[in-house]
Amino acid sequence: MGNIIESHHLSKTYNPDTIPVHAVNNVDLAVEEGEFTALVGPSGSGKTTLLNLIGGLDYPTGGEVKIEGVDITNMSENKLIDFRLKNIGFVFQAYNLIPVLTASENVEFVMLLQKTSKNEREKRAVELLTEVGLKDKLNKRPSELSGGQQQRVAVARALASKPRFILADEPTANLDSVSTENLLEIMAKLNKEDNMTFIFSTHDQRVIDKARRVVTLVDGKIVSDTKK
Amino acid sequence: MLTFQSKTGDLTAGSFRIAGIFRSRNSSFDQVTVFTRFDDLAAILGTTGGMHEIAVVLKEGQKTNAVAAGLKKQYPSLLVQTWTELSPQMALLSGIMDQMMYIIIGIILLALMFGIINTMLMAVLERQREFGMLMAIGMNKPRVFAMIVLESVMLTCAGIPAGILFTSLTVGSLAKHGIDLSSFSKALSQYGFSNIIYPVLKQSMFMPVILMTALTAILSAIYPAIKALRFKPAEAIHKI
Repeated sequence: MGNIIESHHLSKTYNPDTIPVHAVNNVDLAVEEGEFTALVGPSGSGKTTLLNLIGGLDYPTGGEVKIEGVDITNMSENKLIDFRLKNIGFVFQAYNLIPVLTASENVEFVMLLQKTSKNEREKRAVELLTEVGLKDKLNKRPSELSGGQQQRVAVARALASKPRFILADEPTANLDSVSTENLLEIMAKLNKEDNMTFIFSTHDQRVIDKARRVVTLVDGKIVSDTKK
Repeated sequence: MLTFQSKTGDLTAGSFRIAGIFRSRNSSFDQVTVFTRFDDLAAILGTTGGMHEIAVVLKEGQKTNAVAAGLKKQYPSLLVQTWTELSPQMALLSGIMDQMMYIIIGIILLALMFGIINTMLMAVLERQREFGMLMAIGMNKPRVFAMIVLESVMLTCAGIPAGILFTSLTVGSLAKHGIDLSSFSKALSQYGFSNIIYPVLKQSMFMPVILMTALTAILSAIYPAIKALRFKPAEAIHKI
């Protein structure tokens, strides 16, 4: 299978003129389609920064990131937003759902940005929420859902745009063990059945155990890359 | 005894019995004005069959010049003067008051602008994480900008009917009972103003004010919207 993500000599340095902090330091990483990869490492090792660079949420100070051969490092902000909308799904640590929208509307929102028709939006939102086990919570607002349920809505939202891959930044950090188990099962199922590529940063050993590839970062550098 | 200058320029006087004492809302007018029967006065002044001055009161003040011009044309032998010609001081004062009103409206709109900027800026800064997320998942900048401006317009649209209702109730009540300015009666009477003011709110005044308010709302939302566009998604997502 071809590489869906490639980074070459990727670097991100904060405060380059004062006290430089090399959050990501000369990282070469290739991720194939269908991988279930965990980025691990201690706090401050650069996991989130690397995810941000791969996801086009931030610009590197050196090197390049290619998504399916397309270099995103020199894209304008507006092009990058459009690129993210079409190619990348995000799951955030704090769920980041829109509080005034229902679970279904939160999932539909991304499709609305993609100008998908109303019928198709509604149909796909129901399908995705059913897939993550929230068929009975379609009309619940985030405040009426548990943390685990909110994160599952976030996964459904990330899938809604039919992305090429999903980036998840510490998706289980705010969840209890049962919710973590449920979420991991759903993500593993999507990976296995739909061949969806997942890359997530995590501290959680249970998540690391589930991953088929573990990339360990220390001080912004990859110190180990293990495939199971 | 009342003393007058007759039609021929001689001093003349007449003795009258006081039948009653009136009190209008204008004390200066009350102090210098006496009402007599027309025929009694005409005999003393020697103006039998005529009169020396006719005051025309118009319902619409804007037509003053047009009516005066019409009268001048119709009665070329008569001296026709508008109130501004008769009392330039009053006209000047009225003009100043109009200008003051525009300045006050400007100040109110400026205050409104700062109010909306403050509200929208707080809303934007409080929702930094939300905007970060929206931009991360693919909401482009024009949409973010439009969303904030639209929120501001909707906020204003909710406020406008409430404002109209409140204004109608208060002005309606004041139009009925009047605003008592008797504590300033001396100053007001010097200019011939009444001690009690009865405000009038014409329907035609609503639309310009509504449009000005809506425009102010849109202009006020621009700065908070620009502020939101400057958020970096990677940083904004992690804001608490």
